[in-house]
Amino acid sequence: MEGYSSEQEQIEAIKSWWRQNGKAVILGIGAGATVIVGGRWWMGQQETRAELASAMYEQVLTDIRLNESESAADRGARMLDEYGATSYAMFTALTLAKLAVEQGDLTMARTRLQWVIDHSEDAALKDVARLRLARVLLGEGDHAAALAQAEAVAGADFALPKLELKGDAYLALGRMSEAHSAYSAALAASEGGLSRARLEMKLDAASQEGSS
Amino acid sequence: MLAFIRDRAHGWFAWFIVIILIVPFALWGINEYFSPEAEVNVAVVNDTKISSARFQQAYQQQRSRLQAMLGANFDPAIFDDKTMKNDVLEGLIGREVLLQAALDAKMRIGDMQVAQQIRTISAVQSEGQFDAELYNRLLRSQGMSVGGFEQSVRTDLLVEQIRSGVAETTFVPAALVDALIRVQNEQRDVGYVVVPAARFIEQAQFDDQQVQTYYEVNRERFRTTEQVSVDYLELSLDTLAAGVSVNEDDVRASYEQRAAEFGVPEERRARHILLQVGSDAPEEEVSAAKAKIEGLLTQVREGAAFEELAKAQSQDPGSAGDGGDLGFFGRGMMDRSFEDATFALQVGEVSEPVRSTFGYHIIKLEEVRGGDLKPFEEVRAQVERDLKRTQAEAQFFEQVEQLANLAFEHPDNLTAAAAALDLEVKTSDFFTAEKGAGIAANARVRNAAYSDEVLLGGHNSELVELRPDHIVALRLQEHRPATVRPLDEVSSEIRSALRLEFAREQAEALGRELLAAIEEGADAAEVVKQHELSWERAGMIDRLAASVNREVVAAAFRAQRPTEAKPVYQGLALGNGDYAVAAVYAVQEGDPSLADAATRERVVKELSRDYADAEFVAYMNALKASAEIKRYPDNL
Repeated sequence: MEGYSSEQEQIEAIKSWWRQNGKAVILGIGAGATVIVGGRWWMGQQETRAELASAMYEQVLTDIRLNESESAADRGARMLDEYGATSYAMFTALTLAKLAVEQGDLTMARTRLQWVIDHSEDAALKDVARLRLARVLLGEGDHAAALAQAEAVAGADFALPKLELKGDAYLALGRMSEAHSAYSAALAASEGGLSRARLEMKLDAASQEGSS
Repeated sequence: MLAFIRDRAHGWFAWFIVIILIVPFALWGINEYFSPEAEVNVAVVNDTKISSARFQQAYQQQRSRLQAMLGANFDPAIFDDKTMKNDVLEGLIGREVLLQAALDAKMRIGDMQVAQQIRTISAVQSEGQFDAELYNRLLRSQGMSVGGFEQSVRTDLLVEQIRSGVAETTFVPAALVDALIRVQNEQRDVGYVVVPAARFIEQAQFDDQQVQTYYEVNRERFRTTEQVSVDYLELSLDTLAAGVSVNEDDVRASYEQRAAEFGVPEERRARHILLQVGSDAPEEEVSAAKAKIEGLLTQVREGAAFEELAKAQSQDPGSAGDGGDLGFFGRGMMDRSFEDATFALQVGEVSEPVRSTFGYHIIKLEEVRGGDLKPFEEVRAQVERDLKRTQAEAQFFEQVEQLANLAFEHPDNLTAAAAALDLEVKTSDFFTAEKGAGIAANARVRNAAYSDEVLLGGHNSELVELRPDHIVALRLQEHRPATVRPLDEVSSEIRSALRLEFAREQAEALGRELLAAIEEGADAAEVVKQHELSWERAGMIDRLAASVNREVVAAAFRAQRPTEAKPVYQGLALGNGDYAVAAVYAVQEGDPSLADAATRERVVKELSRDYADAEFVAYMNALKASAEIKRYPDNL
């Protein structure tokens, strides 16, 4: 402030600064306000959209509870179109895959699960979908593809279901020793879980031919 | 003005101001460093804290759930256990992780969904319909705000959405059911012989030296477990309460105070037509009114609308305008004879003329609500017991404190405390550190008895809380340390162990001999016959075959597959000392087409449950792994 010798001079300086920059300041404030208001509006829209997706998803579940599979499939398909990027669309696709399997339409189930794998941003949910896709492939008799899909399950936490599936695929392919080691590894990972008895049985079934 | 400030901003005045300002700025918030953190947390998930209070609430809920489930089998001692606390904590963390994942994934529950959910809660419905008044009242009585409750409903719905989205969308293709049935229903053609150990028992021969050696080698096997018994003083709220006497009026007053807990009192909505007659009115006025009201009643009976008649004729200024409607009222609010008449009516019925202090009425009952209030007699015992307990509470806590002091001040005996509190010193049976009966069934009691202070120091224990309303103080009565039982006492045990061991070895030796011969190619039936044994050809059996020794069945199904040319043989020592030789001749996998619908359904159910469980656990663990979770087990 040392540059100004009187109040008058300071006021003059402020005025001339305003003449030069006033427009820019007002424009800046205006732009700022627009961004804030627009942002809030946009966030509000997002919330509303999420709530709508949620309600629609519940509606799909209700259709299924009421055994109105056709309506569930229609609504579900619309859900995937309209809310493609949301978690609700992912859960809808998983639900539709289950519906398709129950109706014996494995091709449709495969499409739905592949859609989740392609579109979900949740790595763990992708792994869930991969496990299920592998089971559908086993159901279709495409054992090699099932094995590849099971191998693609990436999360360390999914070791147990992944190993059991690999065992199932090897067993179906007649590759007994690989089935045996997959089941052994699954048993080691199961820590007294629900599936132990079943795994032991499958392990027996994967025993090889021998003479002693 | 600016110049003025600038001029003054030098010199002592400015410095004075600055120093004055420095003090509060420098010290602001310093107390944060000294006062301990007010809230205790059991875990932090990302930035969300899980408070100890919330943990305790969940833990108590889990306890009462188990208590309700197990009933009389509920043993409070096992729930001190770390595993259960850990399970509850992991449950809370898991829920929080799911919630955060749902919110991050932009999952939301709209107001409509919340409202729909609340409407389905039966506790806030009356006559099958959502009752807003009841809802508000119920929340208030639980000390909850409407906003808070709705938020918690929203959260629950959100967590349930993500849980069911993963766990309830799994499925089982038919081919996987077939595959499991092929394995489950597999059959194997099995033959076997059991060489019984019993036939060698009598041949066993050994001398005292061997008994002695066995004793020396296996000393640890004959070690007894350490045991103690304790003297103890017991304070129980129930015992104290039993000694309290309460009078009938107090019980009744307590019942009335707590009426809300026992249901809602009955209320009735009625219309009436009143013809005013004072209680001291002259005879002719009374009979005129009576005649007139009977006339009105006849009109009603003949179909006149009660409301219209009330509007035109009723002399009750408060209700006439509303067609005689008095709204809802309970007992004790109206004139006695009026009330009795109203509560005797059926809905829609019209009463005979009733004389009250106001005059003559005819009454029409419109509606009844509530009325599930349990009568006094039905809950009397409970009210009395609770009242007694409440009254005994003060005395109980006073005695607890006294006991704590006396047991501490006289650490070498319990008699001082017993005398002061007029209690009896009781003595427990012997118990180990792991197991006991009576008060020793409680793990805290056992821990206290085996604490250094009690066991080594010979002092009184601190107070032990069996339940919050049941306290003991104890001291050592007798200690039986772990010892090795003397040879004399155990020699017969040793002799039978040696006999069995000998027989087992003999059976195994013979079994191996048989196995070797059979594997060489000898006929199994012939070989075993030479030893007066018989080869059992069980034929095709499944995993659950009851006709064959269970261990043999399990081994047969674990065995490798036989080839066309050669069966698979194996020898196995059985748990009871016998030795078995078994052969698997053929393997036949199960045929899914033979399985009935019930079997298939069971397999589907089992598989979808296991798949759902495995997938959800994995999903949850993956979420947990990517969250930043701090656990504080010390605060549990």
